[in-house]
Order: sequence, then C-alpha cells, then structure tokens
Amino acid sequence: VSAEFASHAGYIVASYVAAIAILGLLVGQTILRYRSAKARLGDAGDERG
Amino acid sequence: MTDVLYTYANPQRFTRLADRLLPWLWGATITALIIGQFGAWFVAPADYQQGETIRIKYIHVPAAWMSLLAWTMMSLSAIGTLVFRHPLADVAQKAAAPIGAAFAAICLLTGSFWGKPMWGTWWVWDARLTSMLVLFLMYLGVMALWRAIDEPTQAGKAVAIVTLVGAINIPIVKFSVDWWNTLHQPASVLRLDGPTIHESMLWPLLIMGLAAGLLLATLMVMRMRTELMERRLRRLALAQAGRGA
Repeated sequence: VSAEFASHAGYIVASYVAAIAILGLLVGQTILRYRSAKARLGDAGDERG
Repeated sequence: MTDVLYTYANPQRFTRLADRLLPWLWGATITALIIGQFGAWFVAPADYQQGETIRIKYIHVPAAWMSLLAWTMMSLSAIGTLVFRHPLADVAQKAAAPIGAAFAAICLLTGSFWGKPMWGTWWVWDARLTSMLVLFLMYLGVMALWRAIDEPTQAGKAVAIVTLVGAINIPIVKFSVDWWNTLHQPASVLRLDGPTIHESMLWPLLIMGLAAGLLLATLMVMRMRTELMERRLRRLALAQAGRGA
C-alpha cells in the first residue's frame, strides 16, 4: 500500500462503504417487496401477478 | 416505436417479459460491476493530480449519470401518463423515484468524500453541488407525494405534473459547470468535442456507467413488476370487500 493511498484511504473506503450501504438497502428492499407481493398473490390464489 | 410501446402497454404482457428478462439483467449487472471494478482498481492508474482518490470517481460519476437518467425517464413516463395515458407509465414513474434518489445520495456523499481531500472542504454552495442537492430533494418530494395520495392513478397524475416541472433542473445540473463559475470541474466525458480523460481511465468509467445503467434497468423492471402485483392485490382486496358489503 503506497503512502499516498494510505493518506487518503479513509475517504476512499468511506465512499465505497456509503455506496454499498445505500445500494444494499435499495436492492434488499426491492427484493423483499417483490417476494412479499408474489407470496401474498399466491396466498390470494392469483398466480398471474 | 409507438407500436412497441402499445404492445407492452398490456401489464400482463409486461409481466411475462419482466419474468424472462430479470435473471439476464441481474447476470449482466453483476458481470459489468465486476469488470468495471477490476478496471477501476487494477487497470486505471492513479491520477497525476488527484492520486488514488480518483478511485472514488468510478462510483461518483456513474451515480451522477444515473440520477439524471432516472429523472429523465420519469419525465418521459410523465408524458406517457398525461398525454398517452399509457397504463405502465405511472408504474414506471413510481419505480424510478427511489432508484434515482439512491443514486443522487451516492453522488452527493462520494462527492463530499472526494471534495475534502481534493478541495479542502466537504461542501460548497456552487451551482453543480446545489442543483444536485435540489435533484435529491425533488426525488424525496416525489416519493412523499406518492405516499400522500392513496389512489394510484390520481397520485400518478399529480406526480407527473411535479416531475415535468422538476425536469427544468436536469439541464441545470448538467450545464451548471459551463453556465456558472463553479468549484466543480467541467464535464470530461459527456462533451460535444469528445472525452478529455485518458482511455486507461475512460473505459473502466464507461463500464461502471454501463453497470450502473444495468442496475437501474434491473431495479426498474423489478419494482414495476412489484407495483403491478401490489395493485392487483389492492384490486382483489377491494373486490373482496365489495362482496362482503
């Protein structure tokens, strides 16, 4: 690890952590809502969606 | 083109297409992300001025592009809602808003993390940063409006009007660095006279842009599919309540 990278590592890591956290929340919420709606439609006896 | 739009105006036809497309879209998104990140970390060199902090640009710039693209798509869908009464247009509008908001938030946060070591400040009220913050707040406003009105068709029309009014901010964000004297640097990729960055940095950036675009498309299709299922559930519940009354 270069000294230059080490001096800015905090900013770079924080950027990636923020992006992964926001996208993780968005993707997770999208998948959970999709699965929940599909399951509820199945329970309602309507498989077409 | 109009024929294609009307062919897929049928929500059931869209649903079948979405179910077939989703696995391929997820696969393409993950592949492009892996290749783009490999390029960003192991192929692209450090910048001669910015050093290693240039790595932040490989998420900041695609996030900025997608936040602008999502509102542009919402604006086109708004026209579809108000003018053509396309049955999927308001579904697309609703699906795009949280995705655009997420990309705008990533753009603002990563820009701030880049700005501190490079500019010496987390934030300045210059035209680019301020107009991007306005775009983020507009996304939140549109999402709140969707929640405030129960009936989806009415909500879709109200949101469509707000979206079209808000579309004025898209060229302001894009051209703010040309129209005003900003601390934010001018465009270096999407320029009429071609990109000004070296190709060793350009192609990982373009692949990350493609990956972000694919993620936007994947999440759009999935959220539209979900919205259609939730509207179906709402209709079933209303029909059941009607029978019970």
